[in-house]
Amino acid sequence: MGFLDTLLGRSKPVKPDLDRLFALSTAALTLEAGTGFIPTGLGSVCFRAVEGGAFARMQKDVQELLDAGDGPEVELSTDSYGYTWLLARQPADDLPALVTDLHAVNATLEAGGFGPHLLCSLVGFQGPDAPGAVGRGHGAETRRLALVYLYKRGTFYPFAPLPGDKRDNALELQVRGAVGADLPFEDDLSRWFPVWGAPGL
Amino acid sequence: MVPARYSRERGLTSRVVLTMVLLAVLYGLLVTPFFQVSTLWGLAAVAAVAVLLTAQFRYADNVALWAMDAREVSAAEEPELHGLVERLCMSSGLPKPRVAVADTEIPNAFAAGCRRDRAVVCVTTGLRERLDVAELESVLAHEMAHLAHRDVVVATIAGFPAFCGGLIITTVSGLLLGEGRLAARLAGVVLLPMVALAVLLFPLSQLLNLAISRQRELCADRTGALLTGRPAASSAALTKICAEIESAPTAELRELRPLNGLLTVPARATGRAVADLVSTHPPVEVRVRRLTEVSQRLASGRR
Repeated sequence: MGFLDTLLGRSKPVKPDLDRLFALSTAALTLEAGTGFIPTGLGSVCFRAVEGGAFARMQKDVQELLDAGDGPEVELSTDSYGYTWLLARQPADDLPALVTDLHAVNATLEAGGFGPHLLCSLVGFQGPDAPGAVGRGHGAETRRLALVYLYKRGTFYPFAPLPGDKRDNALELQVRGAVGADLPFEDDLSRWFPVWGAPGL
Repeated sequence: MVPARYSRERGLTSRVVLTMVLLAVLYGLLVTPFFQVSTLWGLAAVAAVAVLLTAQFRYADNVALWAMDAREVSAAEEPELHGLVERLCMSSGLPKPRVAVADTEIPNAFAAGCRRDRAVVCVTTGLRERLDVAELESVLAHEMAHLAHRDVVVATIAGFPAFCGGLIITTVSGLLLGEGRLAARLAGVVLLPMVALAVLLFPLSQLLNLAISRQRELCADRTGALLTGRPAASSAALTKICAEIESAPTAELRELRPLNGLLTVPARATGRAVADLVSTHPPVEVRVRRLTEVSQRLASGRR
């Protein structure tokens, strides 16, 4: 934010670059090679429901857009903070299709002027099934991982939840090591915001 | 494209510019007399101003927390508060401030900290009890808008001449009227011209300070409402906080009074008749009206 904006008490939105989402397809391959994590075929977009009719129309548009064509399933849900999540589903081996869906949702909302209300998009991954590979006391349960795209920053970060609202920081850092070169990664670790219970995780 | 959502308010902008110019003049007035004495004195005055301001920048956040008897809370203690703040950070692109809770029945909130990495957002326990999630979020968004706009810095700079004026008046009157020796009284007499300056500066500075504060509140209301997309929740929260404060016992309000400038709604028991010119915040009716305008814009989908 510039000095003048500070002086005048206004904030200026940054210009986001949605095309960065497409880098996820390559990153997923590197991730699998480096850590064994594979896509689940689930991904979601989080935005906040603004009061008023215009946003309700926009929400409908997005759903129709995704329901059209080959008919990918899209599920709407609202979390406890009042944010809306749009869950997209594609076959696990077709990550490019999922990324295209997520890009379409973001682009539609952005074109409608609701960019300021877009929060993040995420793509879900699951760990290798090898038993005993975890050794952190939660047995054979598959490890979950999400690569989260921060719309406002245009950066990615990993989120790996553990049972009991804990985060697997070691895994997150390991993921950064594996795919950090493929994606514009979020440098500021304090911005690796947790997304507990996000659809698609 | 999005910028239209953050479109400027012409009237507000020009008023802000005007007050900033006046403030610059005030700072000039503060140091000019010293330059009249000699260049050395003038430079010393500038240095003193710089030192005092730096100290305020550095320690004001902790002083504010201490004055409110607030303590910083971790994400494990207050998952909901942290969750709300984090989401606001995600949608605004702001760095995450520290989160604190003050154990006070009166519902209110404030933001403090001049440095981005040390900034803190504080809510009272009374606020948490009385507001629902959407309203609580709108209050947090308002405080974070203050941080985004660097309002704490602005308030510190704007309040400084008044602070100096107050300091001079109390010091010199202490010298003159105190039990001190003759030398002290003589010093007081010598310093009398400074008192004249302070008496001139103090009210001017205070009025300007208050005007700036009111402008920044409206800016924060607006940005906060655009950030959450729910101006109605902001209005509801404002109205609730205001009603609570008006019905609260005076003794409790007195605890909050030193921080009036920082609070979401000032802790003023009465004051409907008091001229709007001398309050830190615009009247709630004005704020709610402005928020309704934002509401109408969002509803019409106009950008």
